[in-house]
Amino acid sequence: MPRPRDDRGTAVVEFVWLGLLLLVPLVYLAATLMRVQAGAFAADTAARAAGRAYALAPDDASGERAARAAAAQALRDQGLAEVPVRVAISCTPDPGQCHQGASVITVRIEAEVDLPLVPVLLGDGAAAVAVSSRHTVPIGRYVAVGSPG
Amino acid sequence: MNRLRRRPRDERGATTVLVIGFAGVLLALVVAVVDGSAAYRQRQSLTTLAEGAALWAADAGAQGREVYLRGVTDAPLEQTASAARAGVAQYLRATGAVADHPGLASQVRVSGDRVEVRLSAPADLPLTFPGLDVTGRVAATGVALVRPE
Repeated sequence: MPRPRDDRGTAVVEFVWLGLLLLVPLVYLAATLMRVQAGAFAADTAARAAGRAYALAPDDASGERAARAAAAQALRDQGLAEVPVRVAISCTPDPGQCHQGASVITVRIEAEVDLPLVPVLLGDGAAAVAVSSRHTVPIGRYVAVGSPG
Repeated sequence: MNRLRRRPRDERGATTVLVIGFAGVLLALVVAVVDGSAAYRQRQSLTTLAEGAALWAADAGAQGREVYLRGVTDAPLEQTASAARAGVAQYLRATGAVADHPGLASQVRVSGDRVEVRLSAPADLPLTFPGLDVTGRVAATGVALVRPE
């Protein structure tokens, strides 16, 4: 009588090749998504903090400094201290005087998040995802007369 | 034929089902997390918008008949409902909110010295489960009043 074929070991083989084919890319996808999401949340928080800092500052120049510091701090809090970031501040109706009454300030944060596990050999920023966020905050219509700005 | 029937049940392929099941669960989790955080970011954005609109509208509403008749004291300024409502509409137009959030609906409640703006928009979910139609609205509220100092 022929011996029935033994199944021992086949589970391991299946697990290994399917794992390589399905689970590893999926886990990488999940890790990448988490990272990009962390970046997106960080950009949101940074834009919010920068907008608030800018609006509370007495004039445009110190507002700009405060906004940049707030954005950098917010990104650092989310573990993104090293990423390149761009803070752009604009306002309507008069872009030159953001701290006058009835002006609406818009802060835009653009950052780049590196993808996980990309070899350094490929170069810096070889695989990066851009995240951005925009925050709009109105200055009150009533601003004390004689306040700088 | 006879020999085939006597062969014990083959277990090859069982792990494949298991691994594919794992992958499916992982994929579902990824979809849920991505959609959840997209909805959260959308709410953040709506909150910013609602707060800005409320502030803008409270400023606009504090310029009406009530303030002229009752004068300015230390108490928050009385709001003129029609002016506040017009302020919300103007702010939403000026910030391009409708383009950012298609299907945006706004609800303004003016009570005495308070302006409350409630914004809602259909949830913009980037991923969907195949065969599952998930719809919902994201809403945010902002309140403002004008207090002379």
